Amino acid sequence: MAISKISIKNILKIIFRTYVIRLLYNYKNMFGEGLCYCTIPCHDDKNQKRFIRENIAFFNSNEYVVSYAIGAFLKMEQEETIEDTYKVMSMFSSSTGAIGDRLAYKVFYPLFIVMLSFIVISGDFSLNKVEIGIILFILFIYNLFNFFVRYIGIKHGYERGKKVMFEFKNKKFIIFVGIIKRVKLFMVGFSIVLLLSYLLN
Amino acid sequence: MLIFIIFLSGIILLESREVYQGMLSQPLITSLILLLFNYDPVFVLLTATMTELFYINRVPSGAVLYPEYSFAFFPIVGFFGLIFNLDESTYQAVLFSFLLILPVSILASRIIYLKRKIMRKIISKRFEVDKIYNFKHLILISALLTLFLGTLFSFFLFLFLKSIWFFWGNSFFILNEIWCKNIIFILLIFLLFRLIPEKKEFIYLILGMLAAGIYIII
Repeated sequence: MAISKISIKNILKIIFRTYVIRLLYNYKNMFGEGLCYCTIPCHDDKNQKRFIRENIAFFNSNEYVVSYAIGAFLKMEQEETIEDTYKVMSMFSSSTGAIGDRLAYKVFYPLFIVMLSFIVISGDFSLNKVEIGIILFILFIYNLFNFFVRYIGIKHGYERGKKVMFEFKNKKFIIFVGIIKRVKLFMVGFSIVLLLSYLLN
Repeated sequence: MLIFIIFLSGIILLESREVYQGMLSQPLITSLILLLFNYDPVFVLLTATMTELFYINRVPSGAVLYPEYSFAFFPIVGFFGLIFNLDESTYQAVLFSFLLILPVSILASRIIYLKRKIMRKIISKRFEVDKIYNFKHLILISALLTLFLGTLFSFFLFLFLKSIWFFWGNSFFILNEIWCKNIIFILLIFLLFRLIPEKKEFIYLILGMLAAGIYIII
């Protein structure tokens, strides 16, 4: 068994590493090297070399949701045989990639972009101090959310193992995504009318 | 200012594609930096909004060449404001810079593709030499490579725009400003309409429109 328990310090180290995971992205193993790099803090120095040699393989994911896979990977490494881990990692490879991309780039990212555009459009394309403050606040919220997703991903992944992916099918989560879509549409409608009024003036 | 824009472009490419991804490099955020340097807010924010809404639904997944619009936006808008005199041709400049962002984004995606191919070779070579993955070195090499390529690319972009200025000067802007403004706003409305996904959620769009109507009347 390579790892014993995941501490807060290690979670923070892994989070920091997930922020730079794309630097190791390449067209052969995709996130394979990145996944190993992120899990290194949980292995002692003796096991690191063996661990890296044994675990570098093809792995595709999304940089925001990869933390769920990392947490689950650490859990499985602790509990199961390495063959089984490979099977599950291959499943994670497709699911975290698809779910992460859809959630990050079709739901959350567009919401924040529409919010920023909404402020700029409602400010008639010239920002005062309050509007700049709101934009910076939105940026802060996004980054907090970005950090929170990674933290929860590692924590829950480690606690629940491969079952962690069911979190994305949770009813509360689906309702939350639905609310986000509606808020986005509301702002889109608001912005369209404002732009029409500018056009007619 | 020129060196600042060139260097910051490299950092923007690094942030948007490789490190952190905290929206810091998005056009609507980086435009705040340009506003800090007294750029025309209408020119900067209108171009940023158009760029953001044009690329809003793109997913940078797998091996797909993802247009690096946040990288393209900053140097183009920065150099446009630096090289051209935009006093009486703001809307034309918005239109031209937006049209330039589209091909430059695609070109920049090729640079990232090239960088990742180089990185693959470096990873394999380093493994042959060290017999172990030295991740810290690899990360440093990867970051410096992106920074270098981004900076170099934005420098060539500056030379390109400077040569346009050299040959045409401000006579480059020959279109009617009011027409340009109308085209931009119609394009923005069209881009927003693209975001409406399903009929059952149409009610929230209508609510937004009604709220905007009340806002305008008040």
